[in-house]
Amino acid sequence: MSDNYLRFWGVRGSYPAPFDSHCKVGGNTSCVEVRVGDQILVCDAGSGIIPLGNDLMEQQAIRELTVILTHYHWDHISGLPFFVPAFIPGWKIHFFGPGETEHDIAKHISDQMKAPYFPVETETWLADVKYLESGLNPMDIGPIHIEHFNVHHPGSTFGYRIHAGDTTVVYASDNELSFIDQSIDRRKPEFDAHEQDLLDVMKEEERHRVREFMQDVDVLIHDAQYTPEDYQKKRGWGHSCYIDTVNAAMDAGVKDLYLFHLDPNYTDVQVDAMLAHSREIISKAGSPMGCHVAREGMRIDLGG
Amino acid sequence: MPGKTPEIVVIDDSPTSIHLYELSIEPLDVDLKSFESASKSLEYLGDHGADLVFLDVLMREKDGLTLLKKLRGMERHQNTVVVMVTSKDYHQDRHIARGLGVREYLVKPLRSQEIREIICKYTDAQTDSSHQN
Repeated sequence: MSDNYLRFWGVRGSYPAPFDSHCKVGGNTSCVEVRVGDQILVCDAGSGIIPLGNDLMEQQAIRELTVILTHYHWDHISGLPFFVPAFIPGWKIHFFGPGETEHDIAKHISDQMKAPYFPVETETWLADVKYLESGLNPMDIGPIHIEHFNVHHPGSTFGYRIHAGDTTVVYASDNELSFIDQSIDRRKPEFDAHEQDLLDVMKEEERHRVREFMQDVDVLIHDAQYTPEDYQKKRGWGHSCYIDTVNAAMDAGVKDLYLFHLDPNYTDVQVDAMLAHSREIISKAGSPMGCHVAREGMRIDLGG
Repeated sequence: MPGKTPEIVVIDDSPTSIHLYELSIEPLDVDLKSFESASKSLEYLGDHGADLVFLDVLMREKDGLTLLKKLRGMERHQNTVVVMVTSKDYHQDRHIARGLGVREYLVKPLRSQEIREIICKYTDAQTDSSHQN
């Protein structure tokens, strides 16, 4: 076990789920820590960043970190008003996310901390806070190499491909797979034969686009919010059915898939059933891919 | 007196989508300029006008709405007619597009006939006589 690791601090989508029936998976919203030596990278700042912040306050050695945001929906930024290191002098915190300018990123983060919604503004943060140049792609945070890409979710939303330690990780917390496939299938009968041929090529292009960002990665942390039944009711909400996630990951040769951004309505029992079904699909396909539920507190060794 | 041939610009990183536009305009007397790269399209549009822009949203390099913000910042494109054609069918994207003066927000896939109807609706495109029976 090396000192380089990834740790899940929040794995739920949409809103926190602090219920007894959900404790095995965890109830906090999106937050994943990637640590390589003394470098800390934090993916998203949902409610999971609050316990991460408290944990960081227990140590003295590190006083700097970088937060990369996929987008600015509440479940990805709602922990920031309670992220203790931001309020402590001597800490350096860098933020990166979608936006045309550093000012855009600052505005999107600070807008949630305004009266009457919150009693203090980001101006009360005493840490040295910097917003990174928005065009940076790829970027390096010490030994951690990061690329971002656009994903299928409302508004401008990023996924990240991260190389840390000996491991390549893709973090795509919010991404609706197979949306175009279903749009095409629904309208296909209206199209003539030549157009239908083009639509088949278009579907293959979309599969290629998805494969491109997750091809052969060691660890894929991906949106797996819904069961097929719930996905049919919530198609167009920007999230994936876990079966689509499993199939896309196998198709791309992913080594280990972590089902992430789990629906807050699902209990531990329901999530265990999703995992069992996922593993059945993988086994039937004869794929060597590992499949896991991302659970709060779980650590993955990054090697190196 | 025939008018100027309308210039249509397509920005979409799907080669198949661009091929569909190319097939769709065959019966029309229009000029089509297509780009799979957002940055190359911006370079071109920095120096050229367009009668109609078809713009995708989800692209590899830069998303279409971010590109459109840049486009609207150029004096010559403040009022250029832009139609979004995308696989993203989300209220948030439609809302941003509306705020940027987009005329229509259409969800893929489109039929060739639908593409022609949009072109004829927003330009003076005429049927190319070489395609008339």
